[in-house]
Amino acid sequence: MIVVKAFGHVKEVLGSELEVNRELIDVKSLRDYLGNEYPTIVWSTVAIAVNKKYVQDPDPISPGDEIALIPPVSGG
Amino acid sequence: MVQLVEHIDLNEVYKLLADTKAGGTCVFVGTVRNHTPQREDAEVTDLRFEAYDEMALAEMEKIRQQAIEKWGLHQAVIIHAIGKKEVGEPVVVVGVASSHRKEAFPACQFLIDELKKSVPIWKKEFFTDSSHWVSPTP
Repeated sequence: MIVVKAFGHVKEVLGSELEVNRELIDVKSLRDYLGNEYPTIVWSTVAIAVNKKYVQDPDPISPGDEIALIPPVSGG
Repeated sequence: MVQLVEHIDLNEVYKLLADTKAGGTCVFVGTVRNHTPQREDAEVTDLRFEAYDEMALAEMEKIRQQAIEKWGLHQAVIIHAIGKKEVGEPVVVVGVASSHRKEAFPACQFLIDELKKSVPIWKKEFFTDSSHWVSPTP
C-alpha cells in the first residue's frame, strides 16, 4: 500500500491522504490508476512529487516514498 | 531565510535583510486585493492559502540559492503566509540586499516569479456568494 497526499482542488475529491492498495512501479502507473479511478480530474495539469521533488512519468516509485499530487500552484 | 508563517511582519523582513555589505535593498510585498479578473461582478472577501509545507520550504530555498548565486546577493528572504488572509493583508514578501541596486531589482523579481511557478502553495478565493481555487496567472 502507498499513501498519496493531495492538495488544492484535488484534495476536495480525494481527501488529504489517499491509500492505494496496489503495486505501483513508477509515476506512469500511478497516473494510470488515478485517471481510471478519478476521471473527473484533469490529471495532465497535476504534477507529482516523490520525496518532495517534482518527478516525471518514467521515474520509479519505491515502498515508503512520500508521494504528493500537486495541482497548478497559485501562491503569491 | 525562507519561512511559512501565519502573519507577515514587514519590520522583521527589513531586519533579516540588514547587511553592512549591502548598498541596496529591494522588497516586493504581495497583498490580497478585493477584485479578480475571473469575477467582475463580485468582490473578494478573503483568500485562504494552503501549502505542502516541507516541499514548499525546500522549493523556496532552492530559488533563494539560485538568486544568491546569480546576482551575488548578500541576503535574500522569501516568506509566505498560510491560512485565511483578509483584503489588504500581506501574503508574500520577497526581498534581497546587494552591493548595488542594479542586481537588487531583477533578483527580487526572479524570487517572486519563480515562487509563483514552482512552490506548492495554493490559494482559494472567497466571494460573498461562492469560492474557488485559483488557477495560476503569468
